[in-house]
Amino acid sequence: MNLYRTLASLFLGSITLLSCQETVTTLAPDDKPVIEAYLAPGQPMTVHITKQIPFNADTTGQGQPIAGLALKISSNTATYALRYIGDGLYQSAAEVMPRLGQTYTLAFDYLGQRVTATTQMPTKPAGYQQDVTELIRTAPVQGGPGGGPGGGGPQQQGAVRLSWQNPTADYYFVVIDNIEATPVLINQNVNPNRPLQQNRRFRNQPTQSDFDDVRGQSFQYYGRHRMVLFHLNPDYAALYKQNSTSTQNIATPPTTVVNGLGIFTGVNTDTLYVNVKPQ
Amino acid sequence: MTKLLPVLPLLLTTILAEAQDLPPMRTKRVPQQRNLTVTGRVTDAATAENLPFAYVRVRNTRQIAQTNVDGFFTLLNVPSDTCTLEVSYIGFKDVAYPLVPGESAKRLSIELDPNRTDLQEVQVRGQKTEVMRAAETIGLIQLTPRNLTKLPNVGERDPFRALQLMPGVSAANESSAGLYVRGGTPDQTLVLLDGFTVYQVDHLYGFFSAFNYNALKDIQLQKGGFGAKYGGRLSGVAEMTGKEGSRKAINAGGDVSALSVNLFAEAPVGNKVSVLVAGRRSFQGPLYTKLFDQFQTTQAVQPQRRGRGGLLSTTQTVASYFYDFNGRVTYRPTDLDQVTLSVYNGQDYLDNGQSINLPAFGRGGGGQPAVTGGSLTNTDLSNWGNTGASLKWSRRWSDRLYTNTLVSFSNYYSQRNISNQVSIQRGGPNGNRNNANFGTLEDNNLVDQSVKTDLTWQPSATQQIEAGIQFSKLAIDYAYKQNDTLTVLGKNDRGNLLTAYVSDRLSLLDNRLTVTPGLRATQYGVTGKLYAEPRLSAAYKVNNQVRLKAAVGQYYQFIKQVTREDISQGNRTFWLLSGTPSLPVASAWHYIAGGSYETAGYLFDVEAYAKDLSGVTEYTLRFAPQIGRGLVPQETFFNGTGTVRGVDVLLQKKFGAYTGWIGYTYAQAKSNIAQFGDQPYYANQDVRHELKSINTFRYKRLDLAATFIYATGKPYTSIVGEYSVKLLDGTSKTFTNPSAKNANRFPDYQRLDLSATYNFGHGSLGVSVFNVLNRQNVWYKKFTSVQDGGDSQLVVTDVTYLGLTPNLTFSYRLR
Repeated sequence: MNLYRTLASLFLGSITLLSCQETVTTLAPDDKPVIEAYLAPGQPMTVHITKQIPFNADTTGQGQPIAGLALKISSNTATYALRYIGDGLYQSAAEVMPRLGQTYTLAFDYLGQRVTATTQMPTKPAGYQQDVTELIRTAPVQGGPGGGPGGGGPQQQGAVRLSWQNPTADYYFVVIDNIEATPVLINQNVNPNRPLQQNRRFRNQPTQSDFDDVRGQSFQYYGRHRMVLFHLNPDYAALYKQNSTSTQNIATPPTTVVNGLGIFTGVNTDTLYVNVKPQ
Repeated sequence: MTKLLPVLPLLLTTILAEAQDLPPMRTKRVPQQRNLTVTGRVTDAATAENLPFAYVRVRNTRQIAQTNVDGFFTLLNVPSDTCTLEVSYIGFKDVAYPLVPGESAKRLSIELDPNRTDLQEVQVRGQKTEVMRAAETIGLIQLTPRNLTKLPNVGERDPFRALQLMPGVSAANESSAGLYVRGGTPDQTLVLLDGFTVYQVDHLYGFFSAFNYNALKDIQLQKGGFGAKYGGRLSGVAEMTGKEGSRKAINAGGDVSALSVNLFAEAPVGNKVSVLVAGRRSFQGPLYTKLFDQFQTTQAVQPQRRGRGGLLSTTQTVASYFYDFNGRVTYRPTDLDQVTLSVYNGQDYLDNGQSINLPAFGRGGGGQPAVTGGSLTNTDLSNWGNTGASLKWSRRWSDRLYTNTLVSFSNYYSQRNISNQVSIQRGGPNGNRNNANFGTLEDNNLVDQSVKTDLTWQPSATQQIEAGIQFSKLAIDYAYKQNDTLTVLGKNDRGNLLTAYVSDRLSLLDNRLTVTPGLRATQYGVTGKLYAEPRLSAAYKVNNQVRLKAAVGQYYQFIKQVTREDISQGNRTFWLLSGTPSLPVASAWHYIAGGSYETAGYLFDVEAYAKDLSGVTEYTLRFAPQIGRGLVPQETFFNGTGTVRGVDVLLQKKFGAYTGWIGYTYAQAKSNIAQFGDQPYYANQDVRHELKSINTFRYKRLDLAATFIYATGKPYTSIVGEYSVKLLDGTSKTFTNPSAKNANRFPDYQRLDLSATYNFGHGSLGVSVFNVLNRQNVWYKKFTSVQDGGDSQLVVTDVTYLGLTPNLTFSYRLR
C-alpha cells in the first residue's frame, strides 16, 4: 500500500508542478478588410475596400466590396471625410489632394475594430533623365521565328537607360506605356496557334538603384511611349516579393494597415517619353 | 584412464564452481581487511573492450560507483574484503563478484557476458534483454546499440531513432533524425562522438541519423539538468562512445538491408593496440528511391524531346547516396594509460543535375544558323556532411585521480547549388561563346578545433570532484548567393570559447542522499563576456526501490542552428555563432523534479520539468522585402523568449521473454517573439501528448517487436483567406492571409511498426514493416490558388510522411 501511496504522490506532485493553462488560440473567422489606396499628388484621395476571399473548403467567390463605412484621412493639419461612390470606392472631395512630405492616416471602424493605416508622401523623383529619346527596332525576319533563347537573328536590341538621384536607396519603379492611338506591332509574324502576349504596357521590378535599363526587346509596339518613374514607399516594393504557400513558410507582405490587409501608400511620379522606330 | 586425465581438472572446476554457487558458504569468510579501496576495470568478456558507465555496487550497502569512459571504477571505504560487488551494464548479464579475503582488491578485472540473443537457451536468471535503461540519474537514458537489432527498423538500425522511443524525446519527426529533447530543437542537444562535437546528424533528409550502430558501444542521452561537465546547449547531451575493437580476436561482419551495406572489422594488433573500422553506404535500390522521392520534391525530367530543327539531347545524372565511416585505433602503453584516435566521416550527396545540348537554331546572314550550338546545364546538387576526429589520452594516476585529455577537430559542411548554366555558341567554332549562370548557391562551413582536459578526483568515499578546462576555436562561414554575384546573406563568424568547470558529488546520510553542486564558466570571444552557469542536482534513496531526484541549472548556448525552410527543395539548416543583437546568446534555466520506483523486474519513473528560455531565435523571410538586395539580419532573425513545461512517465518491464516499456510525455513548448504577435504561440516542435509503446518478445531464436507511437499533431500556420491588390501598372497580385502563428494543428501522428528477427549462430535475418497501418501522417500542408474563370479558390493538399514500407535486413558476424 505504501508503494501505491508513494507512486500516487509522485504523480500528483509532478502534475501540480506543471499546472499550466492551455491557452487555446482559436481561429476566429477572419474579417479583416482589404484596403487598396495609392495617394498621389494632384489627385483626390481614393480608397478601395473589399472583403477578403475566405478560405474554407467549399467557398468560392470574389472579394465583395464593402459599402457604408465612415472613412477619414487625417494629416497633421486637417481631417477629411471620404464619400462612398460605389463598388467599394471611397473618395475625398475633389479639391483635397495629398501634399508632399505629409503623413496621412486612414481610420475607420469595421465590425467593431478600428482599422488604421499610415503613409508618407514620397518626394517627386529628382534628376529623372534618359540617355536616348529614340530607339530603333527591326522586325524579325519572315520565316525565322526563332522561339528559343537568343532566337530571331541579329536585331538592334538597344536600351534606354533611365537614371535619377537616389542617395538614400529608396524604392523606384518604372512603368512604360505605349500612348499611340493606333499602335503598330513590331512583330507582325504572330503564330495564330501560339499568340505571343502583346502588351502595350510593361514594367520592371521595383529597384533601390538610381538607374534602370528599359531593354529594346521589351517594346512590342512602335511609336511613342510614356515612361513613368514612381517614387515608392517600401511597403509597395514588398508586394513584389515571392510568397510561399505552404504551411512551412507562409508569407504575407508587410503593410502599414492595422487590423486589415492590403496597401495604403503614397507615390510620386515623374514622366519621360521615348519613341520606338523601325530602321 | 590417461585419456580422462586432462578432463579431470575441468570436472573439478565445474564441481567447485557449483560449490561456489551454494548458498551462504559453510566455510566462513573471515574479513582480512576493513575499509579497503577497491578498484578495477569492467570489460566485455567477448572482446575485452572497456565498458563505460557500468554500475558497480557493494552488495547490502548503498555504496555505488560508475565506471568512467575507460571502464575504470574506484570504491573507497568498502566495509570489508568479504563483500560482494554487483556489476551491471545495460545489455549485459549482471555479475556478482565476491572479493577474496586477504587478496588485493585493486586492479580487479571484471568481465561481463554480453546478452547474446543468438543463443538458444532457457531463461537465465539475471539476464537482461532491455534495450534501454533510465532512472539512475536524473534525465538520463542509456542505450546499448547492439540491442537495436531487436527493434523494427526501416533500412537502418538507428540509435537516434531508438532514443526517440523514450519519453521526453519526440518520435514524430520523420524528416529529422535529430533529437527533439523535452520541447527543444535538435540543435539544442549537444552530440558528442568520442569527445568531438558532431554538428550534422542527418542522413537522407533526416530519415536516419548519421551514426552507425556497428561502431558504437554506448550511448547516453541526458534530457536535462545535466552537470557542469557539459554545456553549450540548452536542452540535452547525447554522448556516444565508440567501440575500440576487440582485444581478443579478429572479427568482422556486416548488415545488408534494402537500403545500404554496412560492414565492420575489428582486430587486436599485438596486445597493446586494437583497431576498428566500420563503414556503410547506401545503394539506389527501391527503398532508397522511395525514401528519396518522399523527401525530394523536385519534378521529374522529360527524358528526350525533339526540338524544332534539331535534336535536343538531354542527359540526366541522378547520383545520390550517403555514406559514413568510423575508424578507431586504441593504444594501451600501460595498464594505466590509454590513447585513442577516433575518426568519423560521413556525407550525403544528392545530384539531380541535367544537361541539355542545344541544336543550331535561329537564322543569321547567309542562311547559316545564328546559334551553332550550346548547352544548358542544370545543376541541382546538395551535399552535406561531417568530418571529425579526436585524439584522447586518458591516465589513471592513482586510485583516486584520473585525467582525460582530448584534442579534437570537427568540420560540418553543407552545400546547395541549384543553378542553370547557359552557354551559347554563335557563329562557327571560333565564334563567340556566351556563358551565364542563374540560380542560388548556399554554402555553410563550420570548423571546430578544441582541446580539453577533464579530471576526476575522489578525495574520500563520500566525495568525487570533477573539474576541467576546454578551449574551442570556432569558425563558421555562411553564404547564400543568387546568380553568381549577389550575396543575399553572408556571414563569416569567428569566435573562441574558454570554459572551465567544477562539480562536487557529495554522498550524505549514509549514501542515501547525493548532492552535486557545480559551476561552469565560459569566456565567449564574440561578446567578450563571462557566462557563469550554476548547476545543482540531488538524488535521495527513500528505500531500495524508491528514489527521488531533482535538478536545477542554467545553460547557455553560443552556437545556433538556423533552419531556412524550403518546401520545394527541402529544408536547409545552417549554423551561426550568436552574440550579435540580431542573434543573441541563448540561455535556459532547467527545473526538474521526479521519482522512480524500481524492482528487479519493473521500473516506474516520473520526471516533471520546466524550462525558461531567452534568446530564442526564429529565422524567417516573412518580413523581408527581398527586392534586389541582400537580406538584413534585423529583417530575418527575430528573437524572444520561450517556456517549456512537461512531464515524462516511463513504465518498463526489464526482464523476461517479454520486455518493453510504455512512455508518455505531456509537454507544452511556447515561444514569445514580438514580430509574430503579442501573445505567446506554440513553438513549431510543440507536441502536447506523446505515447509510445515498445514491446519485444523472445520466442526461441525469434525476436518479435511492435512499436506504436501516438503524438498530438504539431502546430502550423494556416491560411484563412486570400486577397488581391491592383498594382500601379494595372495588373493584380494575389496574396494569402495567414492565420495567427501556429494557431492550427495537424492531425494526430500514429504509427505502428512491426519486426521479426530470426537469430542464428553468426547473425540474424530480420523483417521490418514500417507504418503497418499505412497511416497518412501529415508532414505539412500546401495551399494553391486555383483560378476558375473569374473565381479563385484555394485548394489545400496534405503532404504526408512515409506510408507502409517493408524492409529486410541480413546480418552476419564472424563471432
